[in-house]
Amino acid sequence: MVVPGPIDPEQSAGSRLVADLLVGLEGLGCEVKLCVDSMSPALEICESFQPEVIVLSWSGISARLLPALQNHPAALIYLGHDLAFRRVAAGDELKQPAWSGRAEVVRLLEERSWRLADLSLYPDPLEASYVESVVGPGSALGMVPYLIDRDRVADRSSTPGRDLCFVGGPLHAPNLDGVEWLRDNVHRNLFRSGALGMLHVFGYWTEADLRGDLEGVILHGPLSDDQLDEAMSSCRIAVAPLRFGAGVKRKVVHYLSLGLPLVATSVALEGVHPDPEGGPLALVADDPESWRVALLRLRDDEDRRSLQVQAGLRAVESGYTKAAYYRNLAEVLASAKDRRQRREGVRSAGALRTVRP
Amino acid sequence: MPERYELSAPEVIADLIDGEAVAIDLTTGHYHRLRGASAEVWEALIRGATEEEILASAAGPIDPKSLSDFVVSLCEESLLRERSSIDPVAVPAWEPGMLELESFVDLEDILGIDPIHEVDPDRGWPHAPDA
Repeated sequence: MVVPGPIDPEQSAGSRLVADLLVGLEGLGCEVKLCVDSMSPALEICESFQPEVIVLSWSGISARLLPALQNHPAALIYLGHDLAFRRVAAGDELKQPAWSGRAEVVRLLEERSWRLADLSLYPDPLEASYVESVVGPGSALGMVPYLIDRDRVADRSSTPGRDLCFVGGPLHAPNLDGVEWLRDNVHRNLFRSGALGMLHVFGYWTEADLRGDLEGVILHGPLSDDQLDEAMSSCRIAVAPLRFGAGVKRKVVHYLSLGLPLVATSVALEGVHPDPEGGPLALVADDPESWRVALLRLRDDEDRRSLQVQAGLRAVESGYTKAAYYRNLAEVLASAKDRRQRREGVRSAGALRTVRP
Repeated sequence: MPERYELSAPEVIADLIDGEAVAIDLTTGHYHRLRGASAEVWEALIRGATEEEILASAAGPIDPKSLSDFVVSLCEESLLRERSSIDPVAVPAWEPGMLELESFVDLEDILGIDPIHEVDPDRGWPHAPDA
């Protein structure tokens, strides 16, 4: 598996995805080598190790290395995380950067990876379907993104207090935008009136990361998984105020697995595995007034809190368990190898794929 | 300066998007836009055309120095490298205009920051050092 730099699962959802995949592959009996592109020569390692499958995480890495790996016998998997071009496009609609073509630049990179890999993986099955619509049937698969530790899953709908919690790293633009938007447009007034308590922001934040003042906000630095879960679990309501983004948001799965009642934007809930019984995973709010109403309701309405938490726990149980993860991963490996063999067959028949440098 | 150039692949990838050329340096995460005449000259250069061939195909007057400066700017950004072949390249007629490379650095996190060479020494990867 090739990644751009050292992974830090406690700091970023992308790293967590990679770390869980490492655990999952080893759990399936695979011998796995993690190659940090910046520290070791990925191509040389791929030559000497002779893996059956090469997974490349991060479009910048895959777009650079995939051309050189086209003749390698291994199946090539591009781990897409999310459709970054959609995330950039949505963010640019809000922020209006100097050039509106930024999303197309990112898409250029991503499409290159889709076309050069045997298989692209996306946590959101709808995003995998999109890639298939561009590249062709079978070119992408949805993946179970996270291995949730069932020991941590619990119903915390009766947690007292008035505090809110948000989890997500400040380097991910939708997180920074979401926290600042919620603080400025919803939380501050409710905090000043005493209707809500503090907004706890988890994910390696420092004061320098957040613009504006910190009234009512507590930024949390590095925490272990256990410390993080304990601290989050002491909050009354979880929030996912993402106004743009793409793919499945790990924070949402994390909240659901902790049994925390959730208010979320519709963007934040995209791609999340549903409750098989059809229960509501969250109160959905996309504007300040809806957020205000939803937060106050989840503060007080015990029945609604319990309804949501139970639905969330069922969703986690059905979509993010180890059994689901391993079943999906075995399917992914088989599909990638099959597509690699077919590519070899096409090559043997003389129809070499044309690769633009 | 070399006579003929090619794209610095695979570190750099390029394409045309809605008539504008885009080049992405995957080692820095910097990306570049070339519009109008700049895009046409860029396309000719990465196909291996010499400055003389490009000047000869201009549909109007052009200052050769502006073309040379433009090529220098592309090389300074490591977007082009010397091409070994010397086959002549047919360059379609093009309308001269301002030759300009527009460079952007605001997508480093997505486009491929090099974690070792572009890392903040105190905060570690993936924090880029302050400019």
